[in-house]
Amino acid sequence: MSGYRLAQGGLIDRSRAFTFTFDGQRIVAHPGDTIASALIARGTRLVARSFKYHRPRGILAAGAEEPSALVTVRSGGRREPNVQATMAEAVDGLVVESQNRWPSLNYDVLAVNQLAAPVLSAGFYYKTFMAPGQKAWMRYERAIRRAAGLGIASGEPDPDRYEKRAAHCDVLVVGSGAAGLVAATSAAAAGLSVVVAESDPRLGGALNWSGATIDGLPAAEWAALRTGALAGRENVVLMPRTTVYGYFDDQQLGAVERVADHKLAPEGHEPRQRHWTIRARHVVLATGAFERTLVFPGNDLPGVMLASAAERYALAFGVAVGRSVVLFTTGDSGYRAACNLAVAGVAVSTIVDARDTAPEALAAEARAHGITVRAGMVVAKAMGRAGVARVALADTEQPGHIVEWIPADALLVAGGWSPVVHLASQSGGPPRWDERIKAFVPGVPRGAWTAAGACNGALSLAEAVSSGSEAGSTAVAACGATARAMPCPSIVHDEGDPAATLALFEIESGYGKAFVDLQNDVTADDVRQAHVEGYVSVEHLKRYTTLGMATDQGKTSNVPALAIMAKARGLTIGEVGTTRFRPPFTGVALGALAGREIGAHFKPVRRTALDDWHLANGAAMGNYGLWQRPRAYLRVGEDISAAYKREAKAVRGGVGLVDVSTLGKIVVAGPDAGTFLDRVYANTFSTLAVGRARYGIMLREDGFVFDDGTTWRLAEDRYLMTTTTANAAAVLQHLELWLATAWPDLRVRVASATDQWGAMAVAGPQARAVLAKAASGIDWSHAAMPPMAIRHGEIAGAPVMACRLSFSGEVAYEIFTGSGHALAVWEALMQAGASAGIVAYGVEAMGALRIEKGHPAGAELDGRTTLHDLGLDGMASKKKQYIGKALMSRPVLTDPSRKRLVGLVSLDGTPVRGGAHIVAGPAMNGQLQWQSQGHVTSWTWSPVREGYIALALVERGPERHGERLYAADPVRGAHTPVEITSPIFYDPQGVRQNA
Amino acid sequence: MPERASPFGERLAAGAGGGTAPPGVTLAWLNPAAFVELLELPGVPSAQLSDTLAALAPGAASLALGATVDHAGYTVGRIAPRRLVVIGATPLLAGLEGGFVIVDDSHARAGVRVAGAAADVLGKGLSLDLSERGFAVGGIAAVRGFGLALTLVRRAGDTFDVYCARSFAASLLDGLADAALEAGWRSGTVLN
Repeated sequence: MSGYRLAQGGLIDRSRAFTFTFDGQRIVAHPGDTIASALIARGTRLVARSFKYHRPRGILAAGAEEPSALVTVRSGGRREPNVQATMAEAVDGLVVESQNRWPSLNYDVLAVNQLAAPVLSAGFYYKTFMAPGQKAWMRYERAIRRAAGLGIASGEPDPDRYEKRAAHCDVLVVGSGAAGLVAATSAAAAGLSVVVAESDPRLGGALNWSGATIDGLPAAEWAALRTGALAGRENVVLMPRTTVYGYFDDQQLGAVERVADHKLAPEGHEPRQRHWTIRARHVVLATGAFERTLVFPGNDLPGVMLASAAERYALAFGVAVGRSVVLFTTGDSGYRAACNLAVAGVAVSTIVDARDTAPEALAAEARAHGITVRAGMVVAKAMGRAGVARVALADTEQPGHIVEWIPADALLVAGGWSPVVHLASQSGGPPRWDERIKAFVPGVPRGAWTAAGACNGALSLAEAVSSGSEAGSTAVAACGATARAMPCPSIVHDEGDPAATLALFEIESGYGKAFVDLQNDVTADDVRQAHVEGYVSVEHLKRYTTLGMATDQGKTSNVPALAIMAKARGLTIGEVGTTRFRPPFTGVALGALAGREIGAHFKPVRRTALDDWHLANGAAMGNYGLWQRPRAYLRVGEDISAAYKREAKAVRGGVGLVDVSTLGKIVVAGPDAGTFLDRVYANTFSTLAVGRARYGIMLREDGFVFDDGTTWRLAEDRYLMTTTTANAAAVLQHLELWLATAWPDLRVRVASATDQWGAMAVAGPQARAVLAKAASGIDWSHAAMPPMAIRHGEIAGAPVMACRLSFSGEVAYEIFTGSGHALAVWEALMQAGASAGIVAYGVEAMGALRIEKGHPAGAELDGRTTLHDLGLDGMASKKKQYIGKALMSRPVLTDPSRKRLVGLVSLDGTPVRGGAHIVAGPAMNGQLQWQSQGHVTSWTWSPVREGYIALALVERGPERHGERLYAADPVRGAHTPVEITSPIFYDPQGVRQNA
Repeated sequence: MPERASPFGERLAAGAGGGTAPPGVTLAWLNPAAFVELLELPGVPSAQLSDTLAALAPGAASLALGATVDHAGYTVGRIAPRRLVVIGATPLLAGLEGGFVIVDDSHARAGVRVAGAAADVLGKGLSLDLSERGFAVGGIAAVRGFGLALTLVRRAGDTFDVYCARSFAASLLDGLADAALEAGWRSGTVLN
C-alpha cells in the first residue's frame, strides 16, 4: 500500500462512489476517476507485467503517454485488451483485468524470463531463429507467438455499434490546453468554423490543475469560461473524449471519439466509438508535451512515476501517489510539481536535483513546504521488492558511488519535456532538435498546420498562451479571414523556467537494468549493443531493438534512447535525429476502423425490380457480383439441381420466363453513334436498320475478346447496347475512355441505362402464343417480327419494347419495360402463360439452355480467349478498323495449337465440373497423364441429352471431335471420362429458334 | 399505364426506427415524374446550347457546376461538366435533341428525401462537407455515399434529396436507416 485518496481536492465528484473490479478485487472510485487514479487511490502499485521479461510494472503516467499500465476492460464480446488505465474512465461495475500474466499478476510463471535476460537482448529473435539457413523459427514460432503479445482479444462478436462520421472545418485545433483554447478562440472570433478535439473528458488540459492564475481567475475557471464561450458559438464544435490519432494526406485527419467508453454499455442506439475523418483547411497542433523519464537502474519499478503525473493525480483526482515521496529532477519543473504536491497534502520528502545549483526561489518555496533539496545529486538506483522502497543517491559526477539511501514508496521523475510532435511528424519534415529545451520540436510542415504551445517548444504557460495566439492568427490568415484583435491573457504562474533542464538522460551507475522503453522492454544496454553491432541509423535501432514501436511510439522513451545512441556514436542528439512517428498516435479499436461496414452493410447489393416476386415465389437467390438473382425457383421437395432441370425442360417443351434485368444496358447516342460502334465492335453496326438488333462482340486493344451482347438500333442516332451482367460497368468505362481520349470530336455520348429497363425473356415453343395473349400493339408472327426485329407495344398497360432474339435455342423474345412497370408486365405474362404451363426460370436453367446451344458467356469470355478460340472469327469485319484488330493477328493469338471452344459429353453420367482440366487417358501404367490440354469452362445437366455436358477450351479442340479424354478434377476428387463434341448440342441449324 | 412501383417495395412504407420521439429525421420516397439526364454533344456551339437550356428553364444556361434552378415544377442541375439533370415534373424536351443526348432515367433512380437532422445522418455515410457553406441550399452533387454512387440535392437547410440507381434502393435505405438509428427515423410519406 502506498497511494491513497487525499481528504480533499481534485475534480472528481466525491459525493458519489461506485466500484469496479480489478482482477476480481473491488476498487472504489468516484465519477471523474480513471482506472489508474482509482487503483492508485486503492494503494495498488502492481498493475501489469512487462512485454518481454514479465517484470512487475506500475503506473508511470497519467495520460496517453502511459507505456506500462495496459489492461483489459469489460468482458464477453465487449472485452477490449491493451487499454491504457490512465485514459480509461472508471465505470460502475466495470470489469478490469491485468494481462500478460499467468496464473496471476502477483505470481506470473513467465517472470522466469528475467533469468534469461542476458540472452533475450536486442536482436534475440533475429540471431536465434532467423539467421540464414536456420529453420529454428519454423520450429518455435508457434510457442513464441503464444507467449508474445499483451492482452487477448475476445473471440466473441462485439455487440456494440461503431460508426464513422465525416467533418469539415476551417480550423481543427488538436488539444485544448492554454494554447489550444486561445487559438480556437481567435479562429472562432474571425468567423471560421472551428473543431476542437480533446482526448480528455474535460477541455482545458493542464489548466484544470495547474494552479496558475489567468486574467485574475484560477486557470481552471478561466478554461471553463473559455470553453463555455466556445461551446456557445454556432461556428464551433467541441469534441471531448476525442483523440486525433493520424494526420494523413490532403489535410485529412483521423480521430476516435469515445462516445460510450465511459459507460458500461452504450445507451439506446449510440455507438461505443465514433471514427471521425476530419478535413480541415488549417490545423493547430496544440498537443502539449510529455514529461520524460530518466534512465537509471530500477527505473521500471512500480512506484516510479513521472512528476507531472503525480501532480495531476493529486490535483485532478485527489490522489496521493505515495506516503513518502522523493522527486528526482533535472530541471525547474520538478520543483513546481513538488510544491503543488505538498500543497495538496502529499508528503514529498526530498527533491534530488542533478544540477549543481538549485533554482533559488523554487528551492526556497520547496524548503518552506518541508522538502529537502539535494542539488548536484542523482538517483543511482531504485530498489524494492514489489515496488520502490528506497532510493540510492550519488553525486552527479560519480553516479556509481552511492552516498545515501532514502526510504521512499514513490519516486517521481522529472527528466525534461518532449513536445508531442507525433501528428506534426506524420505531416511534416523530420522533427528538429531544439537545444534550448533539449527536445525535438516539429519540423517543416508539409501540410497546412501550425504547432502551438508546448507542442512547439513553448513550455511555460505564458509562452504557450502567446504561441496559441500566434497560431490562431496564422490559422485565420491561412483561411483568408481577418483576425480580430484580442487582448493577451495575463498570466500569474510561478513555474520557473520549464525549459531549464540539464542534458542528462541516463544515470550510468552500473547497478543493473536501466530501462529506456518500458512498453517494449528495451534497456540502455540494448541500445548500446545495437550500436556495437553496427546499427547506426535510428531507423535500424528502432527495428533491431523494437524501441518506440507498437502503440507507445516512443512517447517517453524516444529522446533518452537517442541520447544514449548519440553518446555511443560521438554525435549530438540532433545529429542522430529521430524516426518518423507513425499513426496511430494511440491504439485504435478495429471496430472503429470498420465502422458500420460490417455484416449486411459490408457492401451494397443490387436487386432487380422483380426481386420481391422472386423471393415470394420460392427463388433460391445467388450472388452474381453485387446482383441478387434467382438461381432457381424451388418447389416443395426440390433442391436447386432438381429445380433447374425441371425449369429447363419446361422451356424446351413449353414456355418459360426469366428475369434478365441485370444485363448491362448502355445508351449510345448522337449523330456519330454508328461510326463509334463500328470502332468498338468487331462487326458492323452503322448499317443496322432502325428497329433491328444485332449480336456484337468487342475486343480489347490487345486483341482478346472483351464482351458481347446485342445492340438495338432505336433511332437513326440512338442505339441501346446490352452487355454481359459482369462487364456492364467495365464496358461503359471502356466506351467513355475511348470517347474522352481517342475520339473526343465524335458527336456521341454514352450513359448507363441498366436500371432504367426491367428486362425479361419469354422463351419456348409457346412464347409467341403467350405474348400474343398478354400484349397489345405488336404482331408477334414470324413474318411480322422476324429474328432480331424490335417492336413497341403494351403489356398490362405499360409501354414495352420487344426484340426477338434467343440465347436458349427456342423462339424467344426479350421484353424491356420501365423498371417501375416490370412487376406488372411480369405478372401479366405469368398470368397469360398459365394455361400454357409457363414457368419462371432462373440463372441455372438459363445457363443450361445456353450451354446446350453453345453460346459463350462469362466463363468463356475470361479475358484470355480470342474470336478464333470461340469460333466467332467469322463475325469480324474485314472491311473496317476496330479496337483490337491490329493485335488480334499476332502469331501467339493465331497459333493453331491454342485452346479452342468445344463441347464435352460425360461418358459415365457424372458431372463434368467447371475448372476441371482435360487430360489424356491412362498411360501404360494405368495412371492418368496430368499434362493439361485444356479446361472446362461451363457445365450443366442437359435436358435434351438427359446427361451432363460441358463447354471447354481444349488445344486444337475443333479438330478433335470424337476424341475421348478425361476431365480431371483432383481438388474435388472427380475424374470423368468425356468425349469431345461440337459445342452446339442442340438444334445446330437453328430451326427451332427461327421458326 | 400502371403506377410506377416503388423501388423500395414495402421497405419504405410507414415505419420508424431507433432514437427517441420525436424522430430526428423523416425518410420519404421521392417519386418524381421525371429524372432526365442531358448530355451535351461535342461540337455544338455554346450559344446554341445556351439558347436551348434557357428555353428549358430561365437561368439553366448559366448554371455553375453543382448548382440548380427550379422552374415549372422541375429542377435543372449541372451535375458534372457537360452533364445536367432534370428532376421533377416532366419537362418539355422538344428542341433539346440538337444539342444534347437525352437519357430518361425516370425508372432508373430511387430517391429518398431526408429531412430533420439530415446532415448528421448523411455525414455518417458521405464525406461531403454538408454545412450550408460547403453545400448550399440548391446545391447538387454526384457523390459516393453508403458505398453507392449518389445524386444529392439540398432542398433546404435540413432537407436533402438522395438518389441512387434503382437496383441499389434497398442498400441505400438500409444505410440511411442504420445511420439514422441514433437520431431516430420515421417514414411513410410519398413525394411525387
